[in-house]
Amino acid sequence: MSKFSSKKKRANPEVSTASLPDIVFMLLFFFMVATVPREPELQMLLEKPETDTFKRIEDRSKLGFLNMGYRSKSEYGGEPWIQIGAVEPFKFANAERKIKELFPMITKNKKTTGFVLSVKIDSEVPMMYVDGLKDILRTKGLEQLEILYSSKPSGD
Amino acid sequence: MPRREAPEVNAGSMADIAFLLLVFFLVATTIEYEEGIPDKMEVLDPDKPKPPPPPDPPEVNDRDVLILYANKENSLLVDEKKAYTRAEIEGPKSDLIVDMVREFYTDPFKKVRAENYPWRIKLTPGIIADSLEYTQEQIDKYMDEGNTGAQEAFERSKTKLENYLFTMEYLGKREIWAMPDVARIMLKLDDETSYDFYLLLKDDIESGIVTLRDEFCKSEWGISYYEIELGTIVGEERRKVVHQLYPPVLQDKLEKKKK
Repeated sequence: MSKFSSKKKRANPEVSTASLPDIVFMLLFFFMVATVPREPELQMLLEKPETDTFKRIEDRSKLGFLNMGYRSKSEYGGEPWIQIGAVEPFKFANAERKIKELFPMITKNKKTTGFVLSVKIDSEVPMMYVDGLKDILRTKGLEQLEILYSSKPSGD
Repeated sequence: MPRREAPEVNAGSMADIAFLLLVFFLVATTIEYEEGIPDKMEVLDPDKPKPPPPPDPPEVNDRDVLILYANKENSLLVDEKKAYTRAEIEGPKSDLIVDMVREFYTDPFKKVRAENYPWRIKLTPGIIADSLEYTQEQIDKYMDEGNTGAQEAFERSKTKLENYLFTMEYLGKREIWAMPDVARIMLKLDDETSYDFYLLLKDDIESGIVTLRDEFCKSEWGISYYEIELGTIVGEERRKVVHQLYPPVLQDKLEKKKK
């Protein structure tokens, strides 16, 4: 019996933690690579239209963004505001000058081949402003060729 | 000095940490993507001279163009005859536009001549061979003359003919009824038409075309249009064939108000 009772307190087998920093660094790098900067907050009301058919673009390095909407409901149907990135929104009347000025910001760090400009436009915007925007984007100096009318998949 | 042993850190909780991170990732990671309706835009270069129009432009019949006019009250006028309200188009079971598109495209393998829709043109390998010969002659002729506009126009029709020939061989058909080049669904808009009504119409027309392509893919290859694998040779060939039979014909245009 004494054989059993004289059981010595055994030390826990220790797991080597030498690889812990490696793992932490691996995760850190993963974060650094995979993290996408959050879209700047919209400073306007913008309700995208719904569609059944759509094209999906997953590669964000190809995408540029432009938003067009209203700052209050009372403005619906009138002259919309445009927001690019985190820059303070501007009225459509200033669009031509401002878009030219800000366009390098949209295309910064983007792939030049297959670049797509995603335009988020509020449902209430009249077509003349959409067409006006297209005219501005078509002028020389802004070289993108494809735009995407951003929409959300319809619920039914 | 006695050598001290390195103190070991207890790593038993590492697995816990790893799991915690794993769970965090699973919850927090969203695959972000952008969805929408694509639109190609041509960059206007004011320095580039406009190419001269090609000679003998093709004849456009009324039946070749389906005019949809979306006015500022957000209702739709079809070919200046029938009018539909937005509610009629938007209704959950409404296939109004889809049916319109279906009739417009008719059957690429049969001779269908409806009064209001484009008449398809019969193509057989023989006809295509003759046309190709003629097209090549024209290309050479305009190249000598230096008329690049006309030359490009004929080169486009040459590619088109070759694509039809490819389609016929691919499907093992002896004849195909081709859509006339001038066939268009013209979506006209008013200044005040709202953006969502425009997208709704664009979307419905696209749905109509996709439905037709989808039906064709199912009957021919037993797969849906969306299952065509792009990037593979088979996939690209199939896509080419389907797009040849049901080409995109939508054109939108804003009716500018007289100022």
